[in-house]
Amino acid sequence: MNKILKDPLLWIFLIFSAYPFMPYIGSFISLGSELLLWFVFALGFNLCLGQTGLPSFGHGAFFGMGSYAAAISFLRLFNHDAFVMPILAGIVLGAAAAALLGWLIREKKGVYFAMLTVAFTQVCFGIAFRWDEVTGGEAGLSGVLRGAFFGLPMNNPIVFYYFCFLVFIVCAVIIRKISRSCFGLSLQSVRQNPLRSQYLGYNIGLYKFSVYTISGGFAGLAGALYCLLTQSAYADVLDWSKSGDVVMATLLGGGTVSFYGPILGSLIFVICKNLISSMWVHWALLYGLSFVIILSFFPTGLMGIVKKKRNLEPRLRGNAPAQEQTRREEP
Amino acid sequence: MNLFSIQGLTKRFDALVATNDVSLEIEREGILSIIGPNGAGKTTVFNLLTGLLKPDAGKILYKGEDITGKKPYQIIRHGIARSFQVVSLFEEMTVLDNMRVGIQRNLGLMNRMFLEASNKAATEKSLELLELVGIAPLADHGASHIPHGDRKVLDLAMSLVSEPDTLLLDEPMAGLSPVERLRITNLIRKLSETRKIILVEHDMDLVFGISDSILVLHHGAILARGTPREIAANESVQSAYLGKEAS
Amino acid sequence: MLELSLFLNGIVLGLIYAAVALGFSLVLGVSGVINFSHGITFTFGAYFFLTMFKTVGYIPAMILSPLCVALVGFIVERLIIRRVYGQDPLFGLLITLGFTIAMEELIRMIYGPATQNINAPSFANGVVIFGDLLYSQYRLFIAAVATLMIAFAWIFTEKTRFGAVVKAGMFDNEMVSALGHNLYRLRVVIMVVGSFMAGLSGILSAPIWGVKPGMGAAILMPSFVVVLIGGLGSIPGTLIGGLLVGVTLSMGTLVAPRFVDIMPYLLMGVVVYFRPRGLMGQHNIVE
Repeated sequence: MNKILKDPLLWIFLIFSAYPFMPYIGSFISLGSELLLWFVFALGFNLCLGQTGLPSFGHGAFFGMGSYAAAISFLRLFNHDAFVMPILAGIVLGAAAAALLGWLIREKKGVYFAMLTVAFTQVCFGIAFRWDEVTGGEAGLSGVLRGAFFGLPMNNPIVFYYFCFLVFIVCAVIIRKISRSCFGLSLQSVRQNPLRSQYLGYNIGLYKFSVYTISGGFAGLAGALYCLLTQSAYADVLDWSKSGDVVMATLLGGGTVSFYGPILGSLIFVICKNLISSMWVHWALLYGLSFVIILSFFPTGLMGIVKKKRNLEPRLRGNAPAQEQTRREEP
Repeated sequence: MNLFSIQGLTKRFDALVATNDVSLEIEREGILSIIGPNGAGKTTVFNLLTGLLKPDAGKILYKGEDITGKKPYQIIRHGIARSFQVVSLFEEMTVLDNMRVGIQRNLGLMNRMFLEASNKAATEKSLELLELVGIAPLADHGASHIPHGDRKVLDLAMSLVSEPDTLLLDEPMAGLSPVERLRITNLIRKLSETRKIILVEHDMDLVFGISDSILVLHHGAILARGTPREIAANESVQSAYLGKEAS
Repeated sequence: MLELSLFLNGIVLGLIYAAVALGFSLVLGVSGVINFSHGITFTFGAYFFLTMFKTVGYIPAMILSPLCVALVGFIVERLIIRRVYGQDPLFGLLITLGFTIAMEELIRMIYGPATQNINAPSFANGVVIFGDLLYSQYRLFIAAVATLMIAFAWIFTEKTRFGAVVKAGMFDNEMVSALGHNLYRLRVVIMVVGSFMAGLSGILSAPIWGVKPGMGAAILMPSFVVVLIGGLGSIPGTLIGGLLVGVTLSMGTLVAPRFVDIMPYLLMGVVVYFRPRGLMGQHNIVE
């Protein structure tokens, strides 16, 4: 019982179950839904970055694809009357795209891996932006409606919020299960010492491919929810700035040192981005500079600072000092 | 049938021929040491045997099966394991988790996906192996926080998790104190009772004290092969290697 | 005739791409950093020029503004990029991306979001006549300057001792100190030279494509592709990659004008599939 009470996820769930009833912030209900889908996005992304050490810059593309898949399937396939199917379509397309890319670049390392994911994102953006017949091109797709789900009116923002909340709970539990499983430990071994992993019998290319696919599925799911939230899909959502956002949110929270980092990071990141962009036209100036400042001075993010404090006394047990975890020289 | 049957193995790096037409039969038991001056191509042979490098020519048979050009993870499954010159661990994990990573490789796919990493079977097996090599009390310590000698032992123990019948050790004595050397020597002896051991080593006391046979490489080719007594008496080895060592 | 003039446009475009991509490629090769801020140096070149050329004249501005850009490159290396050496590639990518976003917005604050036009200089604003083909003098001028830049860079790396250190550094960072040079200084020099070339390219292309805050981002993505096609750190490879991408983009308009943007990526996909290190790529530090 005590163990369950100490579980950070439980507290996060409790806080967000009360979100719509909080003073002031509770009135921004769609911000709440956006936060929840960002948590799913960032947690899924961190399976790649924090767990496996894959420097992926392609998750914006998977998010965007999920978004388009939901919009297109809603408008074209299901005759404007479906709720679950567009979401499933988002997951499937996100995972399929990630699987394709992941298979092609499973043997690549570091800089090459990152560059190829950037290139992939650009291709997706090019297609979405130009293929008017399917994606609506520059104008994007709009008119996506949220129908009923088991009789619950999803067009009610609060009901939709709780739907997102449910999805978040399921995803967070699954992702944590994955990262604590044998499979998760193997992924960690791939990050920390790929050569040794191979000599323990791991086909590391296959592991990278698998985790990339899973992670892409979560990104697609988040994208589909975003489509339903905004009731539209634009090429902007799969631009590489989206990829930058999710990496930044994850690093800000300290995804490389803590499982909960991405949640903390995207909470702050999304709120600040919404707040500043509504207050100042030239918000991008602060937005860009924040990248520089965070990465220069807090490379292990907020959780990194917390952990470093705790690790100040030299101890033998447990984790290595937080600093070592990301400040490793590439071999 | 011999354990390894190597035919015409050749590896070039640009102009440098690191391994030059090496043909070799290795028997199933005992400890074989590979020695030679720096740059003789000892580590290259290891890398070729374990799939880290692909040979430009030649063939490697292991127990009659062709393993030429296979990837490291495939070669491990044939029953070959290796250690590295520089200790190669998962630095951010505990000693126990370092062992678990290897142990759970042997579980079924479904188990790997759904079992918690800290499951009982993997833990017990890990502790058993740590007990065997004598570092079980350190199980919960971070791998980067234990003394160098223990790290070396852990590295060895990790090579054992795939239950190999051949163990290739690349300079197991590098950077160890005399006391630690003795400890590793005894451990190698113990391990050699149930499996083949192939060593690359500069420590001549160890090589001549422990080996059943010795292979001398020079400029990527075999210079001599024989029992420690024969090698010590071999004149070309004296001039190529041991002579220099003494001067 | 349309085909021929598109082909020539493609070559000119390709030379610009190659000149920009060269700096990007060398920084990546020597320092292992994916430098997104390389695009903004291209933009800076054009805006510095825009500010200067009416007061100091065309040619002086063409020399002065790349020098200012080189200074920017120096500052960026000292203050920002050096913080991420040896870290995960995403760090370098993000920190330079952040800087780029901020600088782009700064330019937007000062100059406004609209595209500004610069006329081609009077000495090169006519046309050249080859048989029945009319071709812009200014584009030929661009081609000449870009070729000169690339040739200088090539001679620099092939024929000088410092160039040999640069090449050794791409193969193995430790070789740099073994050859008696300081790795940090080498990285700065590469960054400064690369920024200079990107800045000059920005000026050259300004009369054709106009000056706008997003111009750097628009040139950065082709640079990516050029580097991956040509092979990291290889100057001849970058030149070939640049020309291939330029011609593909230009001629592609004849085939499928809408999807011309993604053609270079498909080309890159094919090249990288068959030659993972690109056409002329060698083993290097980022592998």
